[in-house]
Amino acid sequence: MTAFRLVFRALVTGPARRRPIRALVPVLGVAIGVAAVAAIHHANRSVTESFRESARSIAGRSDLVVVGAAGVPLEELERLRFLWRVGSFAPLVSGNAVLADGSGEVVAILGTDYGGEASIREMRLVAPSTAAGRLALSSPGSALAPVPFAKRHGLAIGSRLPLVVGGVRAEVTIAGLLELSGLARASGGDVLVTDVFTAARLLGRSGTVDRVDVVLDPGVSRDVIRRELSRRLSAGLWLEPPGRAAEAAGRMARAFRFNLNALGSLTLAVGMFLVANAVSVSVLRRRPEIATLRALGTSRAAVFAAFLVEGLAVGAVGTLVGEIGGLGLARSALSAVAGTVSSVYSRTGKISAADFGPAALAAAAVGMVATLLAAALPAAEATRVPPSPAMRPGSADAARRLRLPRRIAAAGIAIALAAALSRAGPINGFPYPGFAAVALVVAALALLSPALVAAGAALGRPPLERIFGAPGRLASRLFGGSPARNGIAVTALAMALGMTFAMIATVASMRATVRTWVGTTLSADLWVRAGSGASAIVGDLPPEIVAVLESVPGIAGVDPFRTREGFDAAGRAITIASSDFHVLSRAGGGFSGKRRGLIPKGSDPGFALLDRRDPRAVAEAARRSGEVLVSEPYARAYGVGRGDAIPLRTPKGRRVFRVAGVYRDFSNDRGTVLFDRSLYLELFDDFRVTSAGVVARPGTSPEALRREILARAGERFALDVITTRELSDQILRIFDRTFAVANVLEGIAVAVAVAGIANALIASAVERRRSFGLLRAVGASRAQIRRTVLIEALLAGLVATAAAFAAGAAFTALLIGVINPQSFGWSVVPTIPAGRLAGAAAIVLAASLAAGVVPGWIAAAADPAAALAEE
Amino acid sequence: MVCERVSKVYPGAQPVVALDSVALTVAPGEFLAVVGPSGGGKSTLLHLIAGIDRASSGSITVGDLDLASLPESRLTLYRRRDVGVVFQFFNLLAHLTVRENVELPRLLDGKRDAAERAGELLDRVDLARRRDAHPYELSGGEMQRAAIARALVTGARLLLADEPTGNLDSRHGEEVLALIDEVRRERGVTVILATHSDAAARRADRIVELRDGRLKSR
Repeated sequence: MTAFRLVFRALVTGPARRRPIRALVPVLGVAIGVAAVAAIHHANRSVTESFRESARSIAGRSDLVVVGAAGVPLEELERLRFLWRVGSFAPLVSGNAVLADGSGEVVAILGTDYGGEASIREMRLVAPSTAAGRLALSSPGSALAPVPFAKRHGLAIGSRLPLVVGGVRAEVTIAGLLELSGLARASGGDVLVTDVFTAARLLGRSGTVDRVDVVLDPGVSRDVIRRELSRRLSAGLWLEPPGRAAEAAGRMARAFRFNLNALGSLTLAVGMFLVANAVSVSVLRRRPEIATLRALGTSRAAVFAAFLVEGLAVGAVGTLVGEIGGLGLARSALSAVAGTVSSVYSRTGKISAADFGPAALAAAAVGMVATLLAAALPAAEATRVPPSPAMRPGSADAARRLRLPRRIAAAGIAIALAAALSRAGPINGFPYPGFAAVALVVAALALLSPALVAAGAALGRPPLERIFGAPGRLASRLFGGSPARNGIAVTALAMALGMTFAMIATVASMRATVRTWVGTTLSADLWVRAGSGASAIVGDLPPEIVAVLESVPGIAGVDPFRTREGFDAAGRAITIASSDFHVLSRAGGGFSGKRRGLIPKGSDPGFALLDRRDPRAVAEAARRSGEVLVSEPYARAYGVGRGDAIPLRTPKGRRVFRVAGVYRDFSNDRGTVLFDRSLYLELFDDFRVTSAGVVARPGTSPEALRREILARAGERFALDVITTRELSDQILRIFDRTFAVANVLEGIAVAVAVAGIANALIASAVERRRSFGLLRAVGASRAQIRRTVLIEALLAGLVATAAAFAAGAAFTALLIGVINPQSFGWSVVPTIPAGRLAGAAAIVLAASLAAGVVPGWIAAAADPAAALAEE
Repeated sequence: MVCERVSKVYPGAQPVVALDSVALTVAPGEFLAVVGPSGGGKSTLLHLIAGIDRASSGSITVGDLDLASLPESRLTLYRRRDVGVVFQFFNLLAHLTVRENVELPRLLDGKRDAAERAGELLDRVDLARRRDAHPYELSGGEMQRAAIARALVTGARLLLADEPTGNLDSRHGEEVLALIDEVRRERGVTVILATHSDAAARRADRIVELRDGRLKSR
């Protein structure tokens, strides 16, 4: 047997074998952290991979893609005919529809040219196999369905499938079945492939396709063709590499995913403190053994290695258990994240589960590194134990107390650095400096915690003694007597609770801000959109809907709102939107919400625009002068403001627009340029409508108006007509669902941290068994000892809660003031939800008290005779 | 072993002078007893000679090693090879068996004969039957005999015993002292025994007294 194995047995495995439950606590901490990281990473990766896979399926083997600011006009295909000499090309029209077969599922419609398709995108026809059958593929109204999709919906060749496309009822006939490969894998296999004309008719596209994919024959120079194409293409069209869409899909919701990953890591960070706490407790408890080993000639390196290997073992077992838990959690995390992404980012993209392997590997790496880091510090502390067995218990804490001024100074430097970083801008679109500032606040908290423990004990002693007598005094003495050990437990709880406070305050502030935003910007009485049976908008309404709505009696005005993907002059994807500024200025955008009691009391009528001007006047002025409004995320992302000129790609070529104002917008984080509808129609020639706001004449009930609109929609249209109140509720429901994952993660983090308090108290009770035995010998009752430990637990909870309020304020300031605006471009008006914060604090204090129950039993069970014998 | 003007001061609000300019020479093979009241500096002197603490001033030379000038890594080797210590509270490692406790210092030195040497010494201290027991299963006398075996296993020529009978009843205390005396004669080791028992000190070749950190001959 080697010496190291004996050293390891003496310091690590021996004690763990005798007290396996205690050894399991840090394992559990790591496991929970790793499970959270693995599940969230898996959910995020599934989202990215699903979008990428869909984009790749559509891109196929193409070498170049022709795209335009408002699609590619069909007449443009004539100009591309020369490509047949050097390769082939195929247009693609895409959109979404809702199945009207009762399932309400969303399906992608892809219209292609079967002739050019074969060389570009893989399509394997399973049926029909006869030449006659194949002839029917191109007949109007025919569609091909992937086999799994057809099976799920009970479709065979010849089946008719009812659809709602852009609010219009339609039907396709299944003419063929596709193997689930190539193009059929787009949108996760929920797809109907048709010829270009059928898709254009279904989707209401007249005269344009979305893109034209080009494949060149071997040996043909891509650069030569690129130059030739660029020369031939009309204004408003350009070439893109085929990977561009996949890349853009991968970037979708990246800020959301990044923040979710950060939140998942919080759980692991708390787990790290638990490991640090456990190893630190081991070091403190085993000081006599370490001293003896050192006196016998054991090197510092061997002692360090023993504790580091302990950390490694905790990390390995915790990671293994965590991976199993992560696999179980992955499904619910995916469903929650996919729900949010579908609601906020891509309304129709189907998200399928990716392989768990890469997420498991990433979580394992993060878990192991985090555990090693957490174990390294207390392991290094162990090497500083002097080899004198005469060391008395508590001397390590005495030594640390001497270093308090240095720690306080270091904490001051960390806070100053955090403040400096909070002023830095994002790096590559990510708020890295903001997260670094959060980490520095955590570091400051860890550095300050022994001082906080000492101060908490000193401040708590007089009232505790007055209320609880001797146990109160004893508890404050015991708590303050181990500032190092209690400091770690307090840091873990304060960090988790501080982050929870910050999330409560941030989410409440965002919710209040979104509520105000909804109230001030939804100026119509009713909203009409393509029927989907769900809260998401699927498809665009046809242009004639405006005339239908305007013919309904009792309607004072219709604002046909349009939103679509667009591009700035550099080719970066943005959102282009249009609204009727005339209706907006008459309907009183920004004020009418107050009339219906949607805006919380005391809200600000100048809320709609960042510079607080009257939005009606600004809209009217912009309409007259041909200026645009930009959303706050756009203004932040591209650094523009009122009066600046922004160049955009339009079907008429590059155009420059002046910014009339910056408006608050929480509907997306990509950034929106809002045009007056007349200017938009003139430039984009796109008459379709995403949703229409309907303003009722005074005295007309919105409910009656809804009935009338639905009656006029008749058999042709399938519309969702909802009141502003219902829309507002839908938006807030989506908001709450978005943050549901965050709430669960915070709850886990706090539970892990409370387990840390229990662990520290149990260790403390065991270590002080002799002291408790002596107390029993001099007349303390078991109840008094139990009470002492409970009061100590309460004191730990109180100090952690007080520290959490301070840290939470700093975290909130960083989240609301730095991370949120830099991630999403949204500025949030801070709100302090005092009731919810007090509730969270009360729950944690109760949990801290509960954490003292088992240690109290252990302490009260101390044997006075044994304590005296040891003496 | 030569101590020259050795002082040890524990810093603090009121610094404590544990040893005050102590000068002491111990010849090879000698059995020296250091007596004196509690708090007189006996344990401190032994800790300094054992290399588990450092003097504030003065020098301690063991053979040709000047302990004050040794870096920590070399001091660790000194503790491992050149000196054996027996403590009042035994300081056996609770999670190792008696045999493993005895083997450990020799294993730390990378020696392959650790098991063999430990076996011999456990025979010598009459603990062969208890070799697989854990320390908490032994009596006080047995624990101290195991500690003596551990102190000798590296072949150290200097054995320091800090109140080795302080935690034992008189019969077991007598047994332990006899054992120390016997192994000293058999192996020719130098022994420095710190004790406040005159009876124990009488076994020594020479007795010195430490009182308030100052050394007096008796």
